[in-house]
Amino acid sequence: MWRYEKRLQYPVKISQTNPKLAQFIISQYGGPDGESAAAMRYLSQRYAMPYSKGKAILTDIGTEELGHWEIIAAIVHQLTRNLTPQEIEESGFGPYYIDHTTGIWPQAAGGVPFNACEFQSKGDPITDLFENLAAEQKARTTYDNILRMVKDQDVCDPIRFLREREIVHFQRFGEALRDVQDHLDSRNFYAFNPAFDKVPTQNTRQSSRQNSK
Amino acid sequence: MCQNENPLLQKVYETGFALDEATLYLDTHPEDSQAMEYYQYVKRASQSAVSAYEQTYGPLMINQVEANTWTWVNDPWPWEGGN
Repeated sequence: MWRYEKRLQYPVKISQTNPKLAQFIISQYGGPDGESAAAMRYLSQRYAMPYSKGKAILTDIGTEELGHWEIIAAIVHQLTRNLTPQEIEESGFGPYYIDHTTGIWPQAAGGVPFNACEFQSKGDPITDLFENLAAEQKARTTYDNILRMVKDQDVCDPIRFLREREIVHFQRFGEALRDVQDHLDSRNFYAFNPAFDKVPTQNTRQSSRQNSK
Repeated sequence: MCQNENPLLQKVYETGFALDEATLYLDTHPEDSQAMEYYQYVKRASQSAVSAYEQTYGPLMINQVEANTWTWVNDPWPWEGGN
């Protein structure tokens, strides 16, 4: 379960509205490498994780991603406060405004709605962790792309924080992957899927040999 | 981090972040005794920062309402940038 903490993980205080920038940044709310996909990816993958460190890191990074999702929403919300119809028209924010006014809705920068296909939950811990390592790098690239477009220090500051978190999460998932591999046979990590296949133990091997005699 | 004009809230952010970092590290290094010591240190720092903030500005968690009225609903909410 979750309980709400009534603060952001990192403060967002933007004085200058900028609807054009909001339309770029909303991609991290509902886009292909956004924070909603991140939270759902990790929290959904937990059930197929057989090892305790992996269960913990998926839970806690997934939870942090929910906090990042909220930071992105706060940025978009503050960038689109008190807009005039003229500002909306001139900034290119019109198509979003027509469907959502200035409410927050998960979509990519190009207007594509959020879709569960933005993430994978494959039921195999090695596959899932490689997905997560790639996801953290894709989000880091997206933040790099956003930062090239941002001149306002009030916006740069929380975006830089989020970018750095991608790098820390990449590191932690790398450690979790090593832990998974330490549980497996180093001669062939793919001999079986520890989330699905019944793992042969010494005893069952012996008894099956006896049975075959 | 940009300096928050509210020093009590600034302390909540700083110690809360230290705790976030320590806990993720410990998830993949649960046997690291130095990290455990650091965790104990930042946990205490975070708890005291949170209670100092809550005494003046109201609850950060829903089970920390100490007033006679339901102050949980009070503005500002986190996304409003008014803190």
